[in-house]
Amino acid sequence: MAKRIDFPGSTISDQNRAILSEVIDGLLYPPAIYNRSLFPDLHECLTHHFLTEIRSRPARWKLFKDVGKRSAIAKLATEVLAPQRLLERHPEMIVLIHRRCIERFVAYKHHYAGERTDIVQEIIARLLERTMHKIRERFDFRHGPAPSLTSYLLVCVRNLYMDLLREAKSRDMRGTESLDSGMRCVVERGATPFETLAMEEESEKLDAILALYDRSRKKVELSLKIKFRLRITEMEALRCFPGLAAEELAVLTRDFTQTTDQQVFSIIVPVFNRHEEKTNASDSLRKWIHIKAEEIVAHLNRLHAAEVYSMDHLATLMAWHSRTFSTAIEKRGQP
Amino acid sequence: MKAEVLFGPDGHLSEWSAALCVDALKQGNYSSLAEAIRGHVEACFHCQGVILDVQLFLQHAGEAGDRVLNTPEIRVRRADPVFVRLAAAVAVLAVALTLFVLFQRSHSPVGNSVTTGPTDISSPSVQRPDSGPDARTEAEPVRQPRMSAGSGDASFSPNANLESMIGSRSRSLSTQLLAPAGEVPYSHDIVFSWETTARDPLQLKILSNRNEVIFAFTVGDPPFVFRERLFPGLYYWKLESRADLLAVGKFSVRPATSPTE
Repeated sequence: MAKRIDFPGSTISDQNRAILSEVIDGLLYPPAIYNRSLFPDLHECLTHHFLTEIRSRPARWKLFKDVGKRSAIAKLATEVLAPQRLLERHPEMIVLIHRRCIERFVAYKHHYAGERTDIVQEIIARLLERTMHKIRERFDFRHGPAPSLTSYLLVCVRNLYMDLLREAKSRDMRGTESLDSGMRCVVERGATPFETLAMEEESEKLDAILALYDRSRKKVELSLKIKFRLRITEMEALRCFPGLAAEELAVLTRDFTQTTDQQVFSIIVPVFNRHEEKTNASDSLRKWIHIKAEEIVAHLNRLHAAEVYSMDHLATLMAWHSRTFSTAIEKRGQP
Repeated sequence: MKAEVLFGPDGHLSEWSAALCVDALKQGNYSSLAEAIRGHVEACFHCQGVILDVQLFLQHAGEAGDRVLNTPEIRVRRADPVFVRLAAAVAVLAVALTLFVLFQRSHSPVGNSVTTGPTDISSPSVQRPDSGPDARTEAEPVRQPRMSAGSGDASFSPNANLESMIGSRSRSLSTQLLAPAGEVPYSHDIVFSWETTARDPLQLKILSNRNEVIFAFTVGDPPFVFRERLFPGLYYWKLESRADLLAVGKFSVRPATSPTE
């Protein structure tokens, strides 16, 4: 619930306040886009700004105080508070309403709690000095496939954060020992109910990483499972190569647990080559998937800001992921 | 758009394109993005990192409040209240036990340091007759000795915490402590030797039986020759990588048997 904002001599009726709140929630900053857990003080910021703005113009102030009509207040609020208006005229307000979001992002990324406040302040200062002008120049709300302002701003914040880390050089993104040891246990055992939630989060991260491989995702998943000697179902093999013959299915779904890496990839590479119309050697496929696996491990470690994962952990996580996400993948309608 | 640029001057995705990817992943329509963007992301580790950072943050933030963050502080908030109470009770017990042990020690008879310890020690803590660590290992002490090892029976009594750590292994790395084990004579150099698969520079710590770090060295390949002098007593030693405790061992320093030793 929004906190009541009162100005001396500027009391507004509860009715108008409720309408303003409705306009903010329903029209300008819907919670579906501006998640209130990231924008807990959105109402306060906007209401404060709105009252400040219209107080400076007596005609508008009178209109707002007297009218009490939703349409008139909605129009007035849109003129003052719409994101594009704020970006054009008051970019500092965009930063202000994203302030808590930025704080949470820094808390998410930076594990040294004592440094977070300074980092947030520096990011906000740089946003106000430079980046907001750039965003104002580049961001066009009328353009068709435009990203959300929050995503755009957070990408900028993320890049500023990385710049700060590079500049500081005093401490790299490693060494959160408690997290490290904790995650090691989670990834290692991964089965206790208390840790299930953490494993789900890890699975989500892995899923997000795999999603970025886009067209080669299915091949990456299949190859990783083969690399880690995880059992492959016919459905999974067919998702990757829809036209597999029966004997090819048998090759991909066989048990490789007693087979060396070189043997495994020399067995499966003809199937891959036939369906990708390539002439790769088995070593190329083996190295390719090894590089992908290393990339994924690096991403997972980077997301933890610690050397949490090794290749073995990725194998464990892959096993968990394929159990928990296989249903979800099918629900998403992937062939 | 005013300046729709898919790629920045550095060849990576522009902020605009990266934000488009974040939104597309969030909305489940990633395949509708421009081919050029998807193709670049598929092969670019850097851009994958940008997108993942923001997308995972927003994805978790979109769920119920505190589920986000992989920071230790936030995890504490998520802890089960029963677990928290249990942990608090254990902590109180541990403090009480520690106080009890300290009380016991302060009232136990003091060992005869004159007869069991070296007589020519000028420092109250540790005699340091010659140079530091062995030059071959290029190790350098990172912490100065802080305490006296003491003498008498109390200096040989095992430390329950450290004892429980002996034999435990790092999950991902294989490490075996070879020497010292058992007794080493006072006044002799102590040769530390181990085998490990860890590649990082390692920390070798020598601890008293009160679990206090007396020496810490950054060491290279084994062996490491320790040239300082330790009071007779029971000691533990730890080998640590940057992120892991690799192994814990123990040894005792035997009292000098003759005045010349």
